Amino acid sequence: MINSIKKFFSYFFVPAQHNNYRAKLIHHDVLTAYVVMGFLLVSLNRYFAVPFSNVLGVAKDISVIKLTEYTNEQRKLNNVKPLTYNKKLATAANEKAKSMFVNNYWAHFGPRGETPWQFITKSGYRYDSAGENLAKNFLYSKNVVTAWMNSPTHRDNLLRKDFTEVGFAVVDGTLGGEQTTLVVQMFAKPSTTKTTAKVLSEYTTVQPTTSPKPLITVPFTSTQLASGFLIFLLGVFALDFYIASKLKLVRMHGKSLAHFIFIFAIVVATIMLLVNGTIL
Amino acid sequence: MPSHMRKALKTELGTHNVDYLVLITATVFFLLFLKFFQGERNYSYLTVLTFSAFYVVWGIIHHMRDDSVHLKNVLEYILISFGVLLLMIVLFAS
Repeated sequence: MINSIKKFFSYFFVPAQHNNYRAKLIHHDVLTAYVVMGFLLVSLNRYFAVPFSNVLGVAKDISVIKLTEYTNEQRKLNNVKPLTYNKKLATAANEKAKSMFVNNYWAHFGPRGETPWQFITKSGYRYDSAGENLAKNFLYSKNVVTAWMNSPTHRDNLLRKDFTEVGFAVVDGTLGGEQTTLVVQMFAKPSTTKTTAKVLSEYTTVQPTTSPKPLITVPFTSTQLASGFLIFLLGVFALDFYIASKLKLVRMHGKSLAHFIFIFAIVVATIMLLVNGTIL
Repeated sequence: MPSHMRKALKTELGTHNVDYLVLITATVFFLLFLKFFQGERNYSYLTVLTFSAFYVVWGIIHHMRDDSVHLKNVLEYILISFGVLLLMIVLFAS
């Protein structure tokens, strides 16, 4: 039993005579299988993106709960009182995100002069001061808040003592012909008078709203699967290079060292793309 | 790192120093471009596509210089770069 497991492992991972001195997992036929599987994943994603949106395509993990949690975590660390979640501000944030998708803009002020404050007032919220933060193309809540904390103006909004309430919107859509996820965060201090005050803070932070619940949930997102596979492939090529150098093999194959460098660059690129989005 | 691996690395990099210098330089530029186009998904795709295509060309030229160019080698570079490209599309398609 142990021997057959050993043999199986050796066949797939270790270059030896029985696999023509090349780990089976990086043989041409298996590499072709990877490409076919990748192609199927992309096609399935394209055709089933709507009903199975959380199965293949949507790899983001941004939620209102986490955004609120990380925002308040930063405020606590800086000795500022945590913000209370406000549904009206969330509605305003949601309307702002929708407006950006419908009118195709990425800015605090709309092409027809729409201001962030109009959305807040429209939601029925009365404020003394308010602020807005925007973010797009992020995959994780923590990265959104970290990016805001790294930008002085967004940080000012996030840590402003004046603000006591917050609302978020996380909305998927197409902006400038590109599929994206917009995060809108709206901060405010409720008005103490009956009329709306005209004092407005700088537009700053973010506010996420709840995303629609997935129809099907899977234990791994496509991002995790794809990144895991890249790291796995990196390991197979490293092992191949190790064994080949140990056995002093001369083979008529592609260079494992070059493949390793290429895949390593892609892994670094993946990490960069997962971390980086844009804030406004 | 084991001595046999270090020796093999030294030999490979020493014999094909120009080739690997080009590959590493291209890798650095690829990452710099990605950083530069941060948040611009279409440009990021284009950068990954260019780097993948470059890798295939690099592989062919490298094996030509090494007198070991073979259809199987070319296919291997195409499969790896195309496979990785598909993975990147899966990662960032939506």
